[in-house]
Amino acid sequence: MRNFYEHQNRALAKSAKLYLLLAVAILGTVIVTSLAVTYTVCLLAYCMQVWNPGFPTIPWIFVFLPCCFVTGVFVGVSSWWKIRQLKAGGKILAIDLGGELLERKTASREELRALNVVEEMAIAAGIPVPAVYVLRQQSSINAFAAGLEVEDAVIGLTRGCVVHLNREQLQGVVAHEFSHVFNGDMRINLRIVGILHGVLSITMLAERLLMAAYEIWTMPSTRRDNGEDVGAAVILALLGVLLWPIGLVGMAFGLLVMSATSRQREFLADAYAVQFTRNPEGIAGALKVIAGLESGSRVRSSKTLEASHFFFASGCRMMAGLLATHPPLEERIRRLEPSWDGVPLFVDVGADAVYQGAYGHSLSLLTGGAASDQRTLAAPVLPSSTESQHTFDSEEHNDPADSTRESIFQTSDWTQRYQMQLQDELPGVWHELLQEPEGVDAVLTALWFVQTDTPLESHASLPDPLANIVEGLMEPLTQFEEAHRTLLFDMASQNVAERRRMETSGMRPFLTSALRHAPEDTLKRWTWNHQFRRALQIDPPDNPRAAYAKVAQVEGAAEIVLSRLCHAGSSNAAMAQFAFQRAVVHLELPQPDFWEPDEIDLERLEVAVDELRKAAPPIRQRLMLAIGCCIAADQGVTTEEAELVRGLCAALGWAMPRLLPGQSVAPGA
Amino acid sequence: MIPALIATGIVVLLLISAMVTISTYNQLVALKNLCDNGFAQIDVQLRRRYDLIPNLVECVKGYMSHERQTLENVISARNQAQAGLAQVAKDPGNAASLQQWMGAESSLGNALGRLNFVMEAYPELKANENVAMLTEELTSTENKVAFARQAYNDWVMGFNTYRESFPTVMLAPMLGYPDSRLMVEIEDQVAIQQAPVVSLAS
Repeated sequence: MRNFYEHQNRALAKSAKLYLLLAVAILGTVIVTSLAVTYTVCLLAYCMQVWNPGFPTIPWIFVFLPCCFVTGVFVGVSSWWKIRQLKAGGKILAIDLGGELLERKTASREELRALNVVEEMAIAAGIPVPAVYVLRQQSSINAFAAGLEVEDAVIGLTRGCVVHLNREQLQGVVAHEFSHVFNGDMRINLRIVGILHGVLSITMLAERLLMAAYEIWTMPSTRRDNGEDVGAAVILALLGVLLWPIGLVGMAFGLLVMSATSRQREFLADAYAVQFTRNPEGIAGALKVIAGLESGSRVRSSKTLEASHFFFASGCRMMAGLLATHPPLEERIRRLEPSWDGVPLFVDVGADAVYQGAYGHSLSLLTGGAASDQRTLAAPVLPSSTESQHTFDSEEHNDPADSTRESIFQTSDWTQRYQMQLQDELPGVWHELLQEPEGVDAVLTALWFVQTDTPLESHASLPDPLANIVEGLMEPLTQFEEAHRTLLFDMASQNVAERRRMETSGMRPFLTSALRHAPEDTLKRWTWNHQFRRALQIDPPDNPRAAYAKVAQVEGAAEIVLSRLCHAGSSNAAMAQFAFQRAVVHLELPQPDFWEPDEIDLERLEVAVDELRKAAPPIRQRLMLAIGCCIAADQGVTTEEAELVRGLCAALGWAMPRLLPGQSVAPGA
Repeated sequence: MIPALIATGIVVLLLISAMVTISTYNQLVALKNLCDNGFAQIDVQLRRRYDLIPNLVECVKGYMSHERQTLENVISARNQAQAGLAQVAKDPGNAASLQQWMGAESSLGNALGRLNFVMEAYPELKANENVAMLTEELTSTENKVAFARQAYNDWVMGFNTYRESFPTVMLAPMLGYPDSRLMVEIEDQVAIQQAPVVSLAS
């Protein structure tokens, strides 16, 4: 039987112990503070006696006891004041953290879903529906419940929470927060925060004293009356220095007690979340998404520390070990799902404007500030959007960076125009050839011989009639420009993709076996073989588990690939380095290493590619952005650059950009 | 002396049993009200669901002229379930009408599952803002029904456990609670489970 009044009573009884410990903390703080003040006063009196023997002695107890009283009242009043302020409702905290009230009329589709989920969970928990606030500036995933009574409770959700979590995960998070409401944790938390504020106010007072002392000290000497002011400054400074650590120590002790109980309550709340939703996967999934997100559950706000005990997952990173407000994510997940394999869930951060800043930055770098120019970056970087869980309504954010972000990923007009121009230049017979499956396979085979620079004689297994056809095609192909051949490859492979289930010619088995045994001794052969295999779906590499969630984990591999690409796209080393510097901005590496071309052999490149295949989608996107930056750095696409990007994407199993040699990445360039 | 002791003992015993009876009665009333409140919550959400369904059908009708039968099934199942709920609401304790309504409810679930399945084949439906809105509302309302049922069942379990445990089990019939309450169960939506497996390979 779940009756929340009973739960609350039990929770209150449990928290009595906590209150006792806090009372000890406050008492200790008051006594130590009074001792410090007594010491100062007695020292002062002693100095006065030395200076002026007629000065009366002051028994320390006469200083100490009033001091205790004054400090106690001081701490009590400021705690009381803070609690009163917090009692005004969870609303205040939500607004302090930058939350905005969600209303049905103005909510976007995603926000509406969040509102509905809150209502659903309120029914499951049997409590009134609380107001929902969304922290639109926070791209991380976190949530909090606040408010003293169940009736005036408030639920806060970060934008990441609304965007990245699916319905079940969101239910888990909201149910977790409801269990805090249900168990009266908010009441306890609010009191603790108030009491700690009282203790901390001693430190704040000390800071004031030090400031005052400093002001007196730096006053122009003409305005200083005499030594009296200097004396006052010294006394104030001494008091300040003595009092300052006391508040902090009291606070630290209080935090220690509070954190220990808070961690236990988090486990309890996770358990309740399962009880309310009857679905452990929901909340475990949400925790896994946090583990996979680079911004995690951090909430960037000056109030985060103060509110850290209200959050779903820990709001700041500094708090670890004994001071951690929340148990480690891994432990929480394992308690919910003992068979968890340790792999977090990755969401498509591109769906959100999480990297808004990064995108805007890259664009302004490329265009010298004209970030609104839609045609700044070439279209080639098309990340697959299959991982995306949900997308925020793009109307929701009318941020200027938004429209430009999309332009990076969309094929722009002039790229298409370039493609069309090339297509027109191709003799009509090629278009006709591509209409038939035999023609497609013949073109692909001929293209493979030309592009990988393989002599026809080396493959005796090709029957004579077919060899003749291929030879006939190879001759005009070698006359073509690289761009035309690449376009022909694109057209042929698109044809293959469209007819995957349909008939193939006798040439296909030959091409397949040739590709399986093709030597990869040069970069050109390596890139083209990968492209052909990708196009024909020959031995597609199985997708390894996403093992890397942080850019730093693939640092070396990313540097190798980017360096190689920069060399491919630039005519000299200085240009390459310049392009590299621009590109690595997106990876936010502390000390990126630029590799020389002779340092990167094929073997090394392959190792790097293998590493990068294990990168999570968020890194993939940032890397694609960096690659786009590399290409755009010199405003033109060289043959080697196009080959390398295509080959890399094919080898990595990422979406392959239709990058053509000779295309420009900026209009008119 | 002894009769006086016996008399005192009887008075004390009577007092104790009176107190037990009173507290048992109060507890039973509190739990019963909790259950009734829980049922009222299901009732509210179900009504909302019954109101939403014709709206959704109206919205998708234009797109799905070939699916007349599916849409008609949804509407007729909805009407039956609505009528069944009206019966149950009159007398929440009546097991027979509850059972009848639960049958109607599960056939409505089947019809809706079928509709959802058919809707998947119309991509333009998903693009329609109104349809998306209604589907979200319907999803949420169905979740609310499920959660309300879950809460109701938990409360019913609490009530039944209390009513059937000693000594309440002896007192309850005298206090006007002769029967345990029935939990609301709606059969698994067969249609969803039996939906044909869609091959994703192109």
